[in-house]
Amino acid sequence: MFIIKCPYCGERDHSEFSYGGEAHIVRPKQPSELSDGQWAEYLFTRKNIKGLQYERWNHAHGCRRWFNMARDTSNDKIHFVYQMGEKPTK
Amino acid sequence: MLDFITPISEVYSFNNFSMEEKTPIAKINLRGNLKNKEFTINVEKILGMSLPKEAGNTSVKEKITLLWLGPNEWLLVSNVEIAKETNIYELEQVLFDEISKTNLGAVTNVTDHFTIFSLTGSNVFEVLSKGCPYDFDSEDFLDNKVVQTILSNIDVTIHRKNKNEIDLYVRRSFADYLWNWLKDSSDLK
Repeated sequence: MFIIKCPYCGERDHSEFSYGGEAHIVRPKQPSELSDGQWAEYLFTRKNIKGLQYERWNHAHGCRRWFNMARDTSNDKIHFVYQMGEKPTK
Repeated sequence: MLDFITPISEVYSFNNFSMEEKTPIAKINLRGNLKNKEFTINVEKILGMSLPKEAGNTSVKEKITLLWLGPNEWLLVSNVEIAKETNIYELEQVLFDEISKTNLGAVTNVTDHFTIFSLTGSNVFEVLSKGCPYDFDSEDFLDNKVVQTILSNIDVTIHRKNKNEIDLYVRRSFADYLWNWLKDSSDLK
């Protein structure tokens, strides 16, 4: 079992959660001024890190709240979770 | 609004496990920001009770039960049945006028969205554990706690009344499926 600690509900099984991709990607302020390449970069290009990655998760079958998580993609170790809008502390 | 046609029309028991569907009762989904003092003061004045602020807590009063669903979301469940003839839940209108119309929060009637199964028996949690990832032996899961999780792949809200009795909130369209699943699972062999 892969246990995730929801910042609101506490420890729950991973099957209650859904993954929301890489976190802290900022939407360009003026999308109309971007070239197609830059827009595609924003939409599709992700870092694909091996190691510590900051990502978004949703407790879809629980409290339905979004939150951020720092997870090591190589061994699934969860370093910490933090709320939406916050910056990672480490 | 109450739909008196219930999806389940039987009462089931197997050994010491038994379940039945409750008569339809009014349910209201309430959303708003706890940090907004005006919202909490208004709600608590209308309901005459405080909102549960910690995860999984409930507060019960004579006519109302409040369930915590999220940091800014609650489910208000009526403890009294409504007369079939009039079919009106006055509190909904009061809440709607005072909370929704003043933009303090959102009030949504979900009465016909959920149906409630009442499950009783000493092996209730054993039966649920067959299709649920939640740890019912957890120290946090005491009487009058509420937990939202998955049961046999569908979303449910479990309200623990005591160690032998729970209320199971399930979406109406899934009720028939879950009922049959529970029937099947109650045979613990």
